[in-house]
Amino acid sequence: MFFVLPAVFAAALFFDFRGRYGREKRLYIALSVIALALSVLAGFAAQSDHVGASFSGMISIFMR
Amino acid sequence: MGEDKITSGAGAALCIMTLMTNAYSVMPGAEAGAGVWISHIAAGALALILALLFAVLCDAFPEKSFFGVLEVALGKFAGRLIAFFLAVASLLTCVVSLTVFSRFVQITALPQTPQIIIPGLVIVIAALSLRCGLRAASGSARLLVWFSVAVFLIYVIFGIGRAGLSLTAPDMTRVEPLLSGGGEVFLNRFGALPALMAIYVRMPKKGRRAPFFAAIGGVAAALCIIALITVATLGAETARTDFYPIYTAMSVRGVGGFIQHTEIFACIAMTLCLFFKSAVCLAFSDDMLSGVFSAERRLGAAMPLALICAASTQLIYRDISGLRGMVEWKSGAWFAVALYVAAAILPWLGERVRRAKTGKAQ
Repeated sequence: MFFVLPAVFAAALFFDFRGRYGREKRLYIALSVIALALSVLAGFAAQSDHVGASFSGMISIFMR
Repeated sequence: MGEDKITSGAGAALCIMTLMTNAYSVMPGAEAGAGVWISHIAAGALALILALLFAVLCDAFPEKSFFGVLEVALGKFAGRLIAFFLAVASLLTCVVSLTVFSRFVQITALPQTPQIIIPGLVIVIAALSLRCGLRAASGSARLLVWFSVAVFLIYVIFGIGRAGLSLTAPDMTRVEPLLSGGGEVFLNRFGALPALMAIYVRMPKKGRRAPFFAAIGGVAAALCIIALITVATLGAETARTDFYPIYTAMSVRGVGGFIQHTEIFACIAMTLCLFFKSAVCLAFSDDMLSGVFSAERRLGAAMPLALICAASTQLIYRDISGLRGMVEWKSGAWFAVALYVAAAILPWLGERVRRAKTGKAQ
């Protein structure tokens, strides 16, 4: 369940990535890796009853 | 950046909207008690001085980007170090603002909604708006700033009747809370000051100082008045203990008998301001990081930076008292403020030294 956020992030980055090359492309990839890593951590934080996110609530919104 | 130019008026409006983020929810510096408005004056004065140092530096090299100016003034290594620090500081202040706002929305209106939804939406839309540089954001800011002005006027004019100005008399025997409160106010309200240079360098070279400083000075005055009215309405003790005292004071406002729940206008104004602050901080950080890593900026990296900020809103605090500890960061506030001051003074000094050496060589 906690892969929802990384999946959404990966999709957004994939669709935004096009048209970059050279050093800009490498910087974009490096920042994207950081963003995906943080999204995995955010997912873990949500699952450990962190007050911030509620992923079970997010899933139930998609399932309605 | 050659094509990404904005008008002076739009730039000033964008500065105002960026600095007014969360102006109607939390009130940093409340530990200063009834004298919190003095803390706001101190923070506003410091912001104007640092903005002047940055502006003088940029005006010395009008054809260069802000990163280019830092490199010329400080050299390659120190310039990149300062640029990296300013980029991280801008992103951090953006994350804290997003977190405070999302928590605020969760408490007041959307308790069942995952907290990442609101900051995620706001900052992703801000990242998408940067596809045509800051022109889209600045054009929107020029129109929407009047809404923010209207909310401010509602707060002040229709709050005067409920205000007891005698409650705002400060305790001048204890100066330390006023100063430490000033540090908190500076970090929370003016933490995005370096990011405003992303706006300044895109404004027309001639006559950009006046609107730029008028915007910052105007916001500093407005924030001071908001703090004054809040304490006059709620009293110093309630303003100190309530995490969202300005919102609480706003919720007892009405406009005659025909506009109720004026706190909803405050929520709308804060959402708009958060969008503009996100856009400006992302644009600035993108500029700085592209320079630090020598990446020629064509399409930019605003989207991954936006997603980093969105994910960080879930990670930077444990519970509401932890979030409050971040906003009211007394122990570290002056250290952080000192870093900001150093980031402004060092390039300015570096440019003076460079100019003196060039003059001697000739």
